[in-house]
Amino acid sequence: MNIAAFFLLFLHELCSTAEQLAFKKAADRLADHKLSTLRDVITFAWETLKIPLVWLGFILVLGAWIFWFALLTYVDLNVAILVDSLQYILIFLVSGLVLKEQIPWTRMLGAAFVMLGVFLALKG
Amino acid sequence: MTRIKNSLTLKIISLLLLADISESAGELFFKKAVMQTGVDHVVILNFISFLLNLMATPSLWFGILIYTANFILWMAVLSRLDLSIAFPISNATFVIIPFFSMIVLHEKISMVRWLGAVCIIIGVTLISRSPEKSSQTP
Repeated sequence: MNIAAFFLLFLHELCSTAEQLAFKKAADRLADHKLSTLRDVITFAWETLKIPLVWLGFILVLGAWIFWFALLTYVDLNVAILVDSLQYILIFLVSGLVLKEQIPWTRMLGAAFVMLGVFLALKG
Repeated sequence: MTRIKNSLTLKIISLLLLADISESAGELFFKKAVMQTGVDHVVILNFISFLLNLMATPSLWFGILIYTANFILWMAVLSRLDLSIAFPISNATFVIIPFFSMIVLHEKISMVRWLGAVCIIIGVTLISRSPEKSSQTP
């Protein structure tokens, strides 16, 4: 993978992680909604679409896909899929640094395994 | 009416398997679509023409269709399983996609890369584990 591919991967991961955060923040506002009847589900969908963060999430999904397609012009699909796992490290960092969530040691070990895996995937 | 959540029945395993296969098929169609654009490396100058060529390939739309089906399947899985159980099982795509890339797209994968895939599966499974929840499970 060259610098351009890494840059596209970075933009893809950035959009994907921001998208997850946007949807998560939006979902937190919907936690009180009941989902027992069809009417509830329609109301839920309508309320979801009224949240600006959801639309920001959709834009970020589109961005993530565009950068992903661009990345696929540089690398084989099998490499792209494996390096895409770096997203979990980014989410893990955001959870700890931005959302101030507690990070258990199992997650730190997991992050080390992912980094080792990506290193081997790029080396192989 | 209550349903027992988190039991891995044959139906749920089939749904998970279908979700994994549909995700893999979607990615294969995306890669095929990118190959059909004829663009080797996207740069700023050919970015717009690349996107226009991409949108003209049927493979892209097949991929999007399959991804939509995958989203519905995944929601069905999540309505019956906790994310901490469903997620590690869904990580099989880190092996399924490279495997089909090898068969369908004729990509070469070395043993070192397969080892990398195994490390990633272990890592992602550890990251997605929820210690608080698992300690409450009877």
